[in-house]
Amino acid sequence: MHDRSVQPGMPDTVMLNPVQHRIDLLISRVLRFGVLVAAAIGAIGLLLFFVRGPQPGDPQTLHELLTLQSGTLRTSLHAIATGVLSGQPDDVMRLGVLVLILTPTARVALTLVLFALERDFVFVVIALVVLVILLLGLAGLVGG
Amino acid sequence: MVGIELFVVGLCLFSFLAGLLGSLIGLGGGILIVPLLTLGFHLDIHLAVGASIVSIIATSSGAAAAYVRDHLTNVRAGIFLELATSTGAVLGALLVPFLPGRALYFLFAAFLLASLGPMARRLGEEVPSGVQPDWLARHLRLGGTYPDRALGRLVTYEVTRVPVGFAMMFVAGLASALLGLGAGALKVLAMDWGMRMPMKVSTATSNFMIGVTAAASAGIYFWRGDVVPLIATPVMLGVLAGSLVGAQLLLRLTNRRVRQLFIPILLVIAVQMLLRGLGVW
Repeated sequence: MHDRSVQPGMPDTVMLNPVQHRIDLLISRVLRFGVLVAAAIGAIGLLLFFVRGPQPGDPQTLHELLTLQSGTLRTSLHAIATGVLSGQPDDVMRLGVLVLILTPTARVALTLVLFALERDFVFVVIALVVLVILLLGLAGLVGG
Repeated sequence: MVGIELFVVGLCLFSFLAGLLGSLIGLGGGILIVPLLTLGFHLDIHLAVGASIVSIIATSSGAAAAYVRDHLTNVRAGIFLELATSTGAVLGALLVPFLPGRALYFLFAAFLLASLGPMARRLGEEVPSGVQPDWLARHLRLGGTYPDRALGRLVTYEVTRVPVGFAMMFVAGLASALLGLGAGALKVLAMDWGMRMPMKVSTATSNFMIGVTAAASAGIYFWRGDVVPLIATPVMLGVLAGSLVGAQLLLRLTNRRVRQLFIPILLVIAVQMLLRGLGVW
């Protein structure tokens, strides 16, 4: 085997199954979009923090940040929305993380739709079960 | 104030490395992030796991975008096996109060150590040959083809022993719920050793799956406030950047090289699990 004897390059992808090709491309785009949006929001939140500094109610020093106890910064969708609207750095960052957490969920939902369009019903059921479990987990009902 | 800023920048740089490594070998980077935060900064373990969950999802989504586009990820096998990991995770969450956590760490460690042998024996293998697809693999059409940039050709592979892989994935789901891990190492083993998939396909598909496993348990940590913005955000940004670079690297690495990278990491995780089982950490 001479792995390096062939010039590395992209072999012809035309030989791939066109259905697989299309599904892969769509999934890839959704993941990339989710990740970029999450990163952009997170970066804005971090910049806000550097500009405005720690807000009342948030950890004020590195020592406070590192000695936080589990459950002290409890949050909710409503609290995040209010915080984002008033430019609270921590809530903007939470929104970024939330978008990141939702990205795999969006990917599973998309595959569900794609399998349905392909009339691949075994996989529709599989994706549906995964999606339901994922949504229950996101709501905080199972997992952890 | 300056302390926090320095911490944030440092954590971001460290997370870059975690994302780079995690995306190459199909793990979430938790094996680097959790020890740094708990041992290095004495952070509460729940908050460290919260950061690790963010790291896992970021590695997974960041690298998977590239792997799926280049057909390295076996999407059908990934979704099918997510059925096993997510039902395993639900069962695990229900069983948490009844199971001894320590014994689980030992079990996990023993399993990883036991898999070192079979892994090492296949160090020289590039693409598994002579794999006969079993009944499930044929009916679910789990086999695949990917263009291998390191070999410069299309690689077509079959999948076999699906029930073995499915059972291992179920255990991986249990472990991730019980121990708060992405259990990426178990997932790679389930596909590489269990189902005889090529190493790169195994790590890329594991990468694809760990995001879903982690997202399922992310809810509880997130709403409880265990995903601390000033810790999670630098981790997310660093890991994302690292995973994008790592993804470009994996496409160019041979299966053999990836396996050489995976084995020492397996050993490190096994030792971590032993230490946690012993209560040292």
